[in-house]
Amino acid sequence: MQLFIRPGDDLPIYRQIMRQIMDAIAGGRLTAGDQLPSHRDLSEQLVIAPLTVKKAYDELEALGYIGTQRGRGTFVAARLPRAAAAVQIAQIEEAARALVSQAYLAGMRLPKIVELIKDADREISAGPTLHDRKERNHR
Amino acid sequence: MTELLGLRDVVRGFGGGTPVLNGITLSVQREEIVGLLGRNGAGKTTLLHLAMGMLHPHAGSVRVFGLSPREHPVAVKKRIGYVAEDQVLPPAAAIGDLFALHRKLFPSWDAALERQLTDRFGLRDLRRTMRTLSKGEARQVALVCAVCHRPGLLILDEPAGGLDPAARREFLETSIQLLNREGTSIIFSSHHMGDVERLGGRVVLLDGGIIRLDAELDALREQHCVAMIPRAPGLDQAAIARLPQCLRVRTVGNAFHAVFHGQPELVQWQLRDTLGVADARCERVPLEELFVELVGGERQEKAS
Amino acid sequence: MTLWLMGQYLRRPSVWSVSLVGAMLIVLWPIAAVSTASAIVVIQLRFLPGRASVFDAALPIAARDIVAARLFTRLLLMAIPTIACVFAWRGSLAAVWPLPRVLEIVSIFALALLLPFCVRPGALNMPPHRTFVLPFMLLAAVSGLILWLVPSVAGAVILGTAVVALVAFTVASMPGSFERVAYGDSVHGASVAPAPRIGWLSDGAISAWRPILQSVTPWPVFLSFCFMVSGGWIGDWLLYLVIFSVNAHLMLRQRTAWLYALPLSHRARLLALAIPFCLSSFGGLAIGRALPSIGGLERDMAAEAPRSPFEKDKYFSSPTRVPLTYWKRFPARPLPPGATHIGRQVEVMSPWGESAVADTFSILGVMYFDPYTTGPHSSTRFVEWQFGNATTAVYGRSISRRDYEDETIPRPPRLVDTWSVQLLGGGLTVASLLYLLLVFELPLSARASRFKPSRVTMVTLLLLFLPVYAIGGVCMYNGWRRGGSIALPMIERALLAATRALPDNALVIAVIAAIPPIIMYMLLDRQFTRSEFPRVSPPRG
Repeated sequence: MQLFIRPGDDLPIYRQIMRQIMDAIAGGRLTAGDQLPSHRDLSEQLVIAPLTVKKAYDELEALGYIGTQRGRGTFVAARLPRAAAAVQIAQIEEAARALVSQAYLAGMRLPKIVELIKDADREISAGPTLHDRKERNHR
Repeated sequence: MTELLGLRDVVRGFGGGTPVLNGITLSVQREEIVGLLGRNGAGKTTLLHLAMGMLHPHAGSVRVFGLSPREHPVAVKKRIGYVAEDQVLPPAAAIGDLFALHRKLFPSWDAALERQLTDRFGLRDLRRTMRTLSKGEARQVALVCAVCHRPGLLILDEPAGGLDPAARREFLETSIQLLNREGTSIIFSSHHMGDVERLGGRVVLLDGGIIRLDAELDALREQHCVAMIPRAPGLDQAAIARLPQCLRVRTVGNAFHAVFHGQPELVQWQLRDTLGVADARCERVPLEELFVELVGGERQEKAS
Repeated sequence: MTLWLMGQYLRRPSVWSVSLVGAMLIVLWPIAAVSTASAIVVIQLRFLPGRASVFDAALPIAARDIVAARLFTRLLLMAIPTIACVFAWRGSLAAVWPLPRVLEIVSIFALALLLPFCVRPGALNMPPHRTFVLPFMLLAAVSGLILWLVPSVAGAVILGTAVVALVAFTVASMPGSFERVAYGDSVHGASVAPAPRIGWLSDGAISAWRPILQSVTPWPVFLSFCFMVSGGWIGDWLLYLVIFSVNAHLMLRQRTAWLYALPLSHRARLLALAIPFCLSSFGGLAIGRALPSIGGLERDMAAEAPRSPFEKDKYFSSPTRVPLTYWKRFPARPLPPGATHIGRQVEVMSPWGESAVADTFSILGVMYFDPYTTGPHSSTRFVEWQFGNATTAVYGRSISRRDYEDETIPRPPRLVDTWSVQLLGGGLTVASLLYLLLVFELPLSARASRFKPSRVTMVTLLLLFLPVYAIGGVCMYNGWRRGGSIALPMIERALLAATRALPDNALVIAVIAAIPPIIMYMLLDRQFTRSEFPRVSPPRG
């Protein structure tokens, strides 16, 4: 899978990597047991420091999304972390409420909000495209 | 001994007046990357020259690999690679001759790496002289000369200065490869924030002769934010500057821009609470904005 | 527009000051006109930029105007010393060179000065050096032929016209605007098809040191060598030494800055700077002195021509003329046989009672007199006696006047040309060269960087050049009074006295000659450990 980073972005580079890997896992493009590139390979591919890659991987490992096996490499975890279902649903409800409130404040109506959600779904399932990211940053 | 480069309370000036470097303490460990930032004339080149032993400090001490570059210049230079924007290699020298010279001066020269890099950079005809090369090619030759002897420390003084983006990217790729394969430490100065962010590591900001900031890049970005506060009667720059965790305030047009150490939400709350400012905007910003806010000049709005 | 541009160029003091100084020197020492003029030519090449800068080319001024302004400025700057030459000619230069010949030489210099800027005048960047070899050789050949074959007046006219024609032709053939030209080798840029890899086969020591060799031999070094050869040959080389060697050294510094980043010991850097400097200056001098001079002058008692009107009469009327080298100090102990003084006059008396009033010359209050003077009314016997004394002093043994003027009998070498004096003199010269290097190195030390660069320069120049300036000032003033250089004769005097005091052993003399250079070298070595990366101003990055 292809990762893509932008140095001047709001997020630090290691967070961008984390976000993209998490999105890929969520969207099904990375499944349990898939191997991730090594620190060296990814750093040379993206032209970033290997320590940055290491930081991203370490954070993801701490959150439970990936795991390293000595001598064999880094793999997507077999069992993805699941917080207690109730807590997760509550969190998502809270996020939805915040989203709608913010959108109304910005003058958006419901059909537009639904369109927004559909775009986000597309992005996560298919992976970020240049077009999407550009549009998003210009809005 | 893991400290490769250590400067302690170094003072250095030119021709009387305020010293350019006024008490600098800096340490670079093994496998570290340190980026030097600062405005033109802030002393980045001076600091790197001091590390190389090309300048001597007026006060304080400089240690490279545990040695003083003043007393053991040859031993120190044998373990350092140096590329600078203003390095003028002799124009009439052929590329092959320069490589032969470096091969002779550095016993740890790796011919295989030399061949690999020259192939990669496309420097095929080694009889070409330096004056016929483009800026990017000349910089590549300098880079090959600097890295093929597998230095423990790479000193880069605006290595990508004046290069086109593709050449800059190639330079970066080579540096990262070197980092990966050899564990070389790199200390570099640059104005391209994109490159600084890619190389990551520590960021050191030089301003007014001292080190204003010395932090990991990610921590820097995540723990600092910029507040944009519109001007209002009764609100003056000094009051904002007095707030704790405020690093700098400057006037930009009809607003104040202030750099704070802390989360944006907390800073916003603090501004409302202490100074009664309700319409400030606090954001985390990319490195370039942080740099401009920390060391940029004031911009007054013309009275209309 | 052209005039306005000329005004802009002339406003730079470095440009016209050289001309004025040269003119002054020519008036003071007409005989040195050739050397001074050539020095001026070379210095102007350095100071007055040749081609237009990119800045000039971007201005809304016609390229033709820019080129015309530059060429005319150069001619004007040549004119000032030329007028000085004419003025000096009315003095004593006419005795040596007629006016047309002087004008010829001046025209040749003007052509040499203009030629580099008339080759491909439309090009913004200077053509590579090899382009100039052929034009200069042509110029040298043609001017040599004209000087030799054509009578002076016609030659002056031809050459003068050539100068005017060259300027007119260049200006007329200028294209509308300047153009950057790509010379020679492949311009940078990726070739479409990758060429086969050409490796570096000759891995030997030569190719490794070649970049350093190339850095330490820029063109001023060769120029300095050529001028030192000619100076040594003429016998008047102090001016060349100071101007050309210093010029070469300054350029050497710029071009060896990159060596500071390499793991070379300070001794290697010292040698890299000192050897080409010393070789070109001293080597050139040695070669120049070894060359046979014009008309066998090196065997003459007084190998110098009158330098000013003051000397002319004395020079030609006294057969026993000897340079200042052999004059004696007054009062001298012991007085040479027969010398007495009455008031400020010194009389030289022969054993049989005839006497002549000696020439005297005082420097800084010390009076020197010529012990071998003959007056206009002296008898033949007195003249012969004095001639014998003079030749004894100069050659070590007495030669009769008849034998001296007989061209078939070879004259022995002068005492100042013997190996012992040469060795001592050589040692002193090398020591002075190293001293110059030391003076240039001092501002580069870390301690010096604490002060403002201008102040450092001033202090260096004052403290270390002060003795040189003082001596030089005394020499110039008294040399003008005397009508010739007094520095070299005084040095020769001291050397002769030293050889008389020392034993005649080659080894001893060689060791003593080597001491000053060794001391200087040690001082230099110590200073180089303290010197830093040379920079013009604090780094700006």
